[in-house]
Formats: sequence, structure tokens, C-alpha cells
Amino acid sequence: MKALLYKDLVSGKSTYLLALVIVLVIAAYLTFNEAMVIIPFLFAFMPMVLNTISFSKETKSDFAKFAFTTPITRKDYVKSKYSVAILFGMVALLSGCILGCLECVSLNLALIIGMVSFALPIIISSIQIPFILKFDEGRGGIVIVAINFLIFASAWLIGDSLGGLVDLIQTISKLNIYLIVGIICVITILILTISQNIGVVIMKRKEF
Amino acid sequence: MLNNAIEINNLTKSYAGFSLGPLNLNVPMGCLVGYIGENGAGKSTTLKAILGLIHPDSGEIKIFGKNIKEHAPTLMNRIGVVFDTLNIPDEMKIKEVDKFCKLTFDTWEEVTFHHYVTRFNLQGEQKIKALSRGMKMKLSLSIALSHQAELLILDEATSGLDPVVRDEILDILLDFLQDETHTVLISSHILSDLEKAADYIAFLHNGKILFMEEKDMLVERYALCSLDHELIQNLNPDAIVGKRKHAFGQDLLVIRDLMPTCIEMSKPSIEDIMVYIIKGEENAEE
Repeated sequence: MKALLYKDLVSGKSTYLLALVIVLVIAAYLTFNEAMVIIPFLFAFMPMVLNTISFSKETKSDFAKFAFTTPITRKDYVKSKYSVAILFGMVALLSGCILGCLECVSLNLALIIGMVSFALPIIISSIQIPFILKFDEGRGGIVIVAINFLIFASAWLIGDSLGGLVDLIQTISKLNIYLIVGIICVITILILTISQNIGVVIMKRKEF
Repeated sequence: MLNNAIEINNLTKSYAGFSLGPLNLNVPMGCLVGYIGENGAGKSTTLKAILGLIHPDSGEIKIFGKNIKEHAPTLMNRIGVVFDTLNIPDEMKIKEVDKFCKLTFDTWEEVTFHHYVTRFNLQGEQKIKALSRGMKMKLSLSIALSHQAELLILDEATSGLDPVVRDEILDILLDFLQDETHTVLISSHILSDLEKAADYIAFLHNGKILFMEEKDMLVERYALCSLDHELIQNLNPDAIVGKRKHAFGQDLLVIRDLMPTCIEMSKPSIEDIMVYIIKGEENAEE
């Protein structure tokens, strides 16, 4: 799996750098507009963008045909595709908690923001990856566009009704915080596990 | 002790409009087997099935006595593969390919890889996209030869290359075969290459293996002759494998042992054998 992550990193480094610059610009814009709380949610986009880049490069070079003539298993291949989402989930969790504290919201609220931003990239990637594995750049791409649209629309709504959202989160945060965090965590892991298993089944049936 | 590097028993695979097999093929250890056949005969399908890249409808494939499906990761350390294209992202540099392979193969030998890279005049800083087709094939071969592979599988790896590069690649394959535990299975359209290097020839036609024979026996068994129509009437029909009509008679590919000794015959090339067998079948259908 290390090899696949290394390959993704070196083959797409310039594109990844560009994606990072775009995220930083958006983050700066959000900070300027005093909407820093949205920054962790930006990480939801990142794995989706990186996965799309990685898959499109692989499709172009028919990389899977080479990979599966090496000791790389189809299971490892699928798992590697989720690593980026998990990594960004962690970063989002951390940044969510830090920004929550910086914005002087309660610790509970900061933790919820962190957990939601941890769950989002993983859940979005869990929906995206099996579709790409199954349909390659065709129908998988359409699903990605649809997910992108939904996220943009959500971000737009969040931007418009930030106060309402904060109220909602504050209401939820009055519930048992550990219960909420636990539920989000379990749901995320469940979706991730189901998605990985579906991905492995798809890959095992796939021919090259 | 194992005699065969690859054993294929009753392999079948069907697609819309094409069916492979039932196919039985043994690739003896220590030999170079040329796998020939016209476009669409099923050569690549067979090689992909051997490598586990496609799922056969039925049949069994064993490599070094082990089922490829069950032992793929371990077996892949022992198999070097060269396809007709290099399936590595264009943005990667050769030195990054080295690192990738080091992380992938348990048996990766950096020194061997550098040896081949230097021998082929490749540079570590070169990106894949900057390489010509010949250089890509050389890099692919360098990878295949740098992880202590005992079996090399090449699928049309020499097609589209100039004769000098092809010759260089053949020399390396012959070097590789100096170790008697090493085996090569190569599919190629360029039959003159196989003429130089192959120990056995397996001929695939319409998804079925017509023969798998020692190359030397093959060119001894068959013969070419040119006869007029009258003489052909007197021949044993079983002796004629394929024919080409011309103004004065016919050029024939015949089985040497079934021919009268008085007729002048010449040795056929593998290409002659392949073309006459395919054409012979087409003539029979007409």
C-alpha cells in the first residue's frame, strides 16, 4: 500500500500543489470574511479532488494492468484509495477542534464541528470510490459531479444560514457529547467499511 | 521436481464474438516458448488469464505448480511481465519507478535495475512521458528483470521496435535463459525474432492451439514446394497443409514425410507455416 501512496504522490505532485494553493486561497477568503468555521469542511473536497486526479492518471496509463502483475493485491489497491480520505478526515478533525476553540465556541461544539468535518471527507470518498472503481471515468465521473454539486450547494446554504446552522449544532451539542461523537464515529466507520468491501468485490470481479 | 513453469488445463474464456479454448498448454521450465497467432487469435487473452488479469470461465492455470488465483502476490515476485505498452503514469521519473518497485517487490534489486538502466542509456531523472516507445520497452524489461523473476511473460513487447532494439532485447532474453530454471513465454507477431530465439512454438488460431512443438522439429516436419496442377493431383491429400495459387500452379506447405522424395522441397520459416496454415483453412472454407 505504501507503494501505491508513493505513486499517487509523485505522479500527481504538481496537481496536488495546485489544489493546495486553491484551498489556501479559499481558506484565506473565509478567514477574511470571518467564516473560519467552514475551513475544516474544505477538507471534504480535498480527498475527492485527489482521488479524481489519481484515478484519471491511472486510467490514462492503464496502471492497474501493471499493478496487478506485481505483488500488489486488489484489496491493497482499494484500501489505498481510502487512505487520503482518512488522512484528510484526521486533519479536518484537528483543524475543526482548533478553529472551534479559536472562534471561542464551547468545547462540545468544537468537538462536534471536528467530528463532522472528520466524517465528511470519509463519507464522500466512500460514496465516490466504488462508483469510480465500477464505472471508471464515465458514470463514476457523473456521480462525482453530482456529489460536487451537492457539496457546493450545501456550502452555499451553510454560508447563507450560518447562524441557523450554529444554532442547530448548539442544540445538538446540548445532548450527551460523547454519544454524538460516538454515533458519528460509528456511522463513519460503518460506511467506510461497507464501501471498502464493495470496492474489493468490484475490483476482484474486474478484468484488465 | 517441476517440469513446467506454466500449466494450463482446459482453459476457456468467452466474449461476445470470440471464444478462447478449451486450451491446454504447458510451458517447459528453462525454455523460450514463442506464442504465435494472427490478430484476435487469443494470445493476449491467454497471457492475461495466466497473470490473473481476467477470470477464465473454466479451467485451471498453475504457475510453478501453484494456482495463480490463490498465490498471486507471492507468485508475482517470481514473474516478470512486459506488455506492449508501459502502464506507468507519464509523470513518474525513472528513479521514482525504482522507488515504487522497491516498495512493491519483496525481491527488488536496485543494483540490477541500475545496471539495466545504464545498459539501456536511460537516465534516472527522465520522466516516462519523455521516453520513446523503444526506451519504454527497455524500462519495462529492466523492471521485469530486476526482481529475481524466474518466468518472463512478454506480450507483443517487441512490436513497433526497430531491429537493433529487438535484437538487443532478444540477446537479454537469451542471457536470462542461461539459468536453466528461467523460462520465457513471448507472444509476438515478429516471427523472425522467435525464429532466432524460441525453443518451442505454440500456434494459436481462432482461440485454439493448433500445435505446440519444438521449433527445430517444426521446420523439419513441414516443407515448401512449388508444383503444377497436374503433379498436385497425384499427391497424398493429407500431405498438403496449405496452398497459394499462382499462374503456373501452386505453392504448397506440405508435411515432408508424406511427400515423394523426388520432389524438390525447401525449409519453411515459422511465418510461412503460420500463413499457409491460416490460408489453407480459408481456402478449404472457400
